[in-house]
Amino acid sequence: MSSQHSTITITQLACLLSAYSIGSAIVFIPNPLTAAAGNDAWLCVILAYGFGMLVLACVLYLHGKHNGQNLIAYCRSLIGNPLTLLVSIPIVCMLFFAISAINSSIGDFFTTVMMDQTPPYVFHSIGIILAALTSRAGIKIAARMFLLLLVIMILFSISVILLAIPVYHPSYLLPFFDHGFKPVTHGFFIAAGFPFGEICFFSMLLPFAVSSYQQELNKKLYIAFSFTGFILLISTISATMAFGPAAGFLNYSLYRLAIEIHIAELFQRVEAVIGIALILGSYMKATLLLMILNYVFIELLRIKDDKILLYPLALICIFLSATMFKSPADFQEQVYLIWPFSVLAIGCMLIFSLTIITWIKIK
Amino acid sequence: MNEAIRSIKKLNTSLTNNQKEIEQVFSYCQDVNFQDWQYGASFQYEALSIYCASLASYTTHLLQQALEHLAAYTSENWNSVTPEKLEACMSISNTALQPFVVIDEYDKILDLVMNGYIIILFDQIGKALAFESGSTAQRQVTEPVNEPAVHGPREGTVENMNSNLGMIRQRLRTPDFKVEFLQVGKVIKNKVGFGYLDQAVNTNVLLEFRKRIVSIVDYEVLETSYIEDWIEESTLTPFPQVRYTERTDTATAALLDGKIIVLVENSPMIMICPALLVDFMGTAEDYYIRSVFATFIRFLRLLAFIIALTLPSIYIALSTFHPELIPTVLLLAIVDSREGIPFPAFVEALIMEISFELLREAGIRLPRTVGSAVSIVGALVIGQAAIMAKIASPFMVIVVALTGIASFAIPHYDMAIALRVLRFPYMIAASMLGGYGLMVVFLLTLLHLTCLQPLGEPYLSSLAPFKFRDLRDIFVRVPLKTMLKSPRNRRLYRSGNKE
Repeated sequence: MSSQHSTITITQLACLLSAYSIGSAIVFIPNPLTAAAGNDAWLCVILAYGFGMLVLACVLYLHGKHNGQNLIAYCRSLIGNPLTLLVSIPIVCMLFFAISAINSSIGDFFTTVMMDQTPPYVFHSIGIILAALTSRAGIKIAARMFLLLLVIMILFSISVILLAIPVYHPSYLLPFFDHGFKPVTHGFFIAAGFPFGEICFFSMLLPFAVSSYQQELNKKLYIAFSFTGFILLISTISATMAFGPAAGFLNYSLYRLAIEIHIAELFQRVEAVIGIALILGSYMKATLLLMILNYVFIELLRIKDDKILLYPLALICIFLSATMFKSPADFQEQVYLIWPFSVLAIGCMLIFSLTIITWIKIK
Repeated sequence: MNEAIRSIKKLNTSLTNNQKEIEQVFSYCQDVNFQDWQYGASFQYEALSIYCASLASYTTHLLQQALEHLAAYTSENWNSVTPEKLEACMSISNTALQPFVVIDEYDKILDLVMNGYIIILFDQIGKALAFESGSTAQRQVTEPVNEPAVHGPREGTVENMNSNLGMIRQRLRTPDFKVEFLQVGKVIKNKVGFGYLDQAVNTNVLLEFRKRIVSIVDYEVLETSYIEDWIEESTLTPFPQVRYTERTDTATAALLDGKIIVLVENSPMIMICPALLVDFMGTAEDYYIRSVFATFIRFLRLLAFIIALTLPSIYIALSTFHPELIPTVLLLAIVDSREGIPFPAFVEALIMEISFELLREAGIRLPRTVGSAVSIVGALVIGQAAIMAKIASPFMVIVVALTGIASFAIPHYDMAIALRVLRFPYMIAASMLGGYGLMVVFLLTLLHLTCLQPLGEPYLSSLAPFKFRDLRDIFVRVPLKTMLKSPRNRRLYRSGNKE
């Protein structure tokens, strides 16, 4: 596999993990969580972060116990080739879905908010072409580039969150558990699937990091994941404090938050900044998911040239993004209902099962 | 190998034959002179001097001086020297007061004549003496025209490679400063030299550089920039991967930073390679002024970089696709100023940008006295007339003028040109897809820059891959006390004991 040719540092891998898990979630996540759990949305983020840490722990455990192999490779050694092929089918489908959904979300955002005259397929195709070009350049280039983009994205988002302080009403966070614990569970289910549970697929990229110290790798990835948790938490809290329960009805919460900013004549109409953050986040996540999808195929089919499938896969994703979602409501249902369920039931369950099998085998 | 040996043609012992052979080669070269001489006790032996009058300063007593120097070792009077004794003296080379070279090949004679040497051939001796006597017109060392500085040294490079190397060597008095020479071109046979600081240079970069530089030996290299195509990673990218300087202090600093410098005889430009993006943000003077001021200037340059690349495209994107993002009062002012303009913002910007580029090009190519007139006519008359005629809005004139000023603030001309070229794709993207188009072109540019690796070094090095330690000399310039205490080139101090 090409991991032998192209390697990145642990810090770069940690940065990729943050880019992968924050991605577009920073703009999208407050809306469905508030819709599900009201003002307790931020509690869902904390719980989902805890669950994500558990999945990450399992991923790192498997990586350590299987000499730095990727998900498909250790799956094959643990459950055999036929079963691995069987398990890979839903994984591949999920990855196709994830890439297309991210792409569609960008198209939806622009056609809804900024450029309603432009057909969505323009955004879909350009987004995937960009992701394919970056994936083709290799993980080393992506790792170098994404660190800069991540810094820009975080800086822009944090600036908006800070500039919006005058519109916050901390009282909107209270009372806790107004409608009992069930809405929080619902919110936890969404956030655990998107984006925290998605960490299970990241195990495909772990072998690219050069490290002789598993502990160092673990430490940096836990820090990166905690950083993701923190960023998503403050994004959710700020959306709740600004809009209260209405945040559940406002798509692209941070964008709406940016519109609210009016500080003298100097800081106003800063929503473009969130548009930039959203494009960057989606681009990084789509690129990494395309890479993962590509490596799943490369590993499954044992292909030597790790770039040969990239463009065909990208083309399929363009077609899928253009045809998969019939309406915004359909998108909401598939992304916030079916997707979290698939991530938890297939991705995370697979990781947990492999962890238990490995643990039993070692014992 | 055998063919090479066969092709070397040795001198004859007959002076007449030698003269005939050489005269044939230099036929119609009327600046190559042949002067007959007689020497010996009764002037019975013949000699011949050959020189190129346009390259060598010839003295009439040259043969006498040469014989005096040689005869001193035979304890005889110079006018009683015989060919036999002369030949014996020639074998003891470097004994004369004036340095000379003993040659016995025709090709070598031709080469040396064309390099400003004076050749003396003797009858009955199959060898010749060559004396260096270069005397072509040389420009004096003056202040560098393109890189002026308020503080710092005033000397700029000249067309003589040895003088340039000497000025660098004066600053780098260490045997670790290595200089290697190549002869390039089958016809012009120009001299190319490259230098590096042995303990500072990255060995992989040097290896890659050597591999590439040797491929130019067959080409006629007239100027340092000719070599650029062989050294750089991609010739199609607008971004420069080497940089040029006329300042020897800049070249020295680059050597300390582990760069390789390339010099070409008859060219004052010193090429520094590999050049990375961050190298184009700084000037030599940044290190001669106070760090606070240097940092402020660096921020200004970064701003200039962003404005020069994106300002017209941002204006197009905002005014065409996202007017809701412009504050209301400003939006009203823009709408008001654009009233009556028959073109969309993109066409308006394109007309103004192309006019500006035309004016700039015209200003550069014309003689200086006329050039300023063009600028005045362009900036004042045409600008004002364009607004009055409703071809362009005052806002667009401001945008284009600001962009132009920003591109002048970029210290390296090659980078400024790159931004001038890139501005147009940015404008096209903005006119087609607004802010999204801008982001797409930005990401493509960033991807391209990240992929670029001149001589194996990442072009965005220090930013991507990110090196926190190096940031102190990119967007800010920390006090030299801190920078020199922990040197910017760690490799230099790691391997050596020079600290």
